[in-house]
Amino acid sequence: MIEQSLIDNCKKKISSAEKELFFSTAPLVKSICRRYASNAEETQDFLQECYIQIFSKITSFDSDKGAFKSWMCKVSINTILMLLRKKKRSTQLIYVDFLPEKKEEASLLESASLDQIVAIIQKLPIGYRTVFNLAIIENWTHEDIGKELNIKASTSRSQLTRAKAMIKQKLSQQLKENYVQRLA
Amino acid sequence: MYNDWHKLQNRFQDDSPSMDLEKAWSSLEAERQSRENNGGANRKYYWLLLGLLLLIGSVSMYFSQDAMIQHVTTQLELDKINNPSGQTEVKAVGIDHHERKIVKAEKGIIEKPKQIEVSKNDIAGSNSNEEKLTTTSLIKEQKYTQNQNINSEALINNNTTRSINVNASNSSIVVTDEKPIAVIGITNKAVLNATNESIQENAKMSIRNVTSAYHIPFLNPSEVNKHNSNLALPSAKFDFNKEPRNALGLSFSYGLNIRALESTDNANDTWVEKRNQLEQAKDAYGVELFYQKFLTKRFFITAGLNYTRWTDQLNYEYTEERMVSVEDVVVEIKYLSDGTIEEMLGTVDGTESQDYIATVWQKQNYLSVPILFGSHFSFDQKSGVNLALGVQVPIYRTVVGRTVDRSNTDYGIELINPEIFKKNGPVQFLANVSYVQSIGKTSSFHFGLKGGFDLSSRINESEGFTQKHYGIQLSTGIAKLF
Repeated sequence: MIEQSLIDNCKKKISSAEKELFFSTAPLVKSICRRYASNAEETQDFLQECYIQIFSKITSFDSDKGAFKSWMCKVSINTILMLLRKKKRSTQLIYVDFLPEKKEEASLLESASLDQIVAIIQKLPIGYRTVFNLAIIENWTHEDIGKELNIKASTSRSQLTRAKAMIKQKLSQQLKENYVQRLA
Repeated sequence: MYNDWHKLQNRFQDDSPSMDLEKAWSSLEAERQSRENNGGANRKYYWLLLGLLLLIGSVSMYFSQDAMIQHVTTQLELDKINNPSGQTEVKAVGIDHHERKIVKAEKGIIEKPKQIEVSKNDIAGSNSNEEKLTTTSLIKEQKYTQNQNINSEALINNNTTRSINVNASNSSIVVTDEKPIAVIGITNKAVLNATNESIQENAKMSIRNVTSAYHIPFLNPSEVNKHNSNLALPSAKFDFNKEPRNALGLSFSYGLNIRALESTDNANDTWVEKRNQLEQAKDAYGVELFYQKFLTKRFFITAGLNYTRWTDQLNYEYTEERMVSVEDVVVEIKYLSDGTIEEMLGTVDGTESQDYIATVWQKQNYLSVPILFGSHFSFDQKSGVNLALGVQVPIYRTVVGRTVDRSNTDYGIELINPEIFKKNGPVQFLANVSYVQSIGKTSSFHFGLKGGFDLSSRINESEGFTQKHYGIQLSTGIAKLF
């Protein structure tokens, strides 16, 4: 819970308050950033941009309308999507061959750590990664994703399927490698 | 498998990756500082540009005023070549000042000091008396210097027969006689022909009284007729065809403001739709200080400082309902068998509604630097039309007012957040058409239409919506001509 007085001081651009807010919320924002980024460096860039936007827009935050963390997450996701849109202009969407969804063990995802999953998500093509995050983590509908990313809802669905398949395949591969390493 | 993904979502809700907070904070601070500095640099750049424009304007004005003196000097640049006959052959350079564009004389011969009589008969008769027609000069003791008063009035002298004395010194012409006149002529034959034609036409071509400031006219004979009209004395009105037309002016505009508001983030769709439904672009007005510099007779460049206010209106109506509780009211009446009435008191819950009707405004104030390139089309000496295209670069903006509440589009308004507007943008495309009419010799009045549109959104991209404005305004103003 972020104290209102801290937010008020941030609105007044008091540096110590901004620092305190950053220290208390940065891990949360970073968790969002790293899911959308392709590597640690990009995560850092996203994080910086998110906080620049958060601090510049904090004057528009109204605590009567909702919790600060929700507002901050919304600003962060919008900022990241904006950055990805810019990036997408110079990045061709990479289509990979369809990977058939195998019936995996239910424990596959559970057995992997979040860091492992994030590392795999980061290796997904940018389009898959964005759709996966919006659909699975942010719970957006495919219609909404389609509007946001300027693609058809059906494209969003198929990209999600492929993203899921890729994640599972990579996870499976990684777990196998780990298992072999442990045996060795 | 669905549950697996759902669980993953829950796991991410609790995700708290480790990080070096101090390092991340330092990095963020450095980035913010860097952007602030860049912003400052941009602002400095705009002020520098403005200063540069003002400097160019000031320098242009300075040289415009000094040009007369400059031309006197130019006219006197005679290239003397002594030939064997003792005559001094001269070569005159461009006489024109301020696009009076009279002459480029080829060369001539000044005999020193020798009195030459030029008569109509001489000129019209034949070209045999070449010697008499070799000289062009002024008659009066008058020495041209750089400090020459340039405002003396000129009169046309219809007399076609004059005596002419010429003294050529090293770098100036000294003339001796009562009245200052100039006779046009360079080479014998050419002068004869030119003056002959002129005299036949109006008998005032070969000898012309001039203000000392205007001409020591060594005319190229081939140009005589062509530039005959250019030798006319200045009219009482400003002449758009001849005069240099640099102007410093003030312009006012008022007119339509058209707004295009579009959502680029589906989260904003409802809000933007509501805004488009409730809000309407109202009007725009502006005031502009401009400096106009003619690069050629036809083409000009204009720069200045423009203030424009764009106003949007929000017609805001809603009914607010509130839950109310009224205590100690009779909620039940019992008629008892003994004939008595028992009233039961209680609390009644209900709703109370209140209608709100209001009109609120959003006002965007932009201070910009317009730079236009245009063309002037003259109707006559006193009037014409200016067409110009260009851009307008904002250097400062403020935004005040209210808009539809972004978090609650059913009803409600909120203060508009100026931070969502770009600090250095957007650049506007401009197109102007205006009628220009001279007032006296040094002023002009103009009115016309001014159109413009934003080349990009006024809103920061991260806001998830775009806002562009288009405008057509009537403009009018006055200018001081130089």
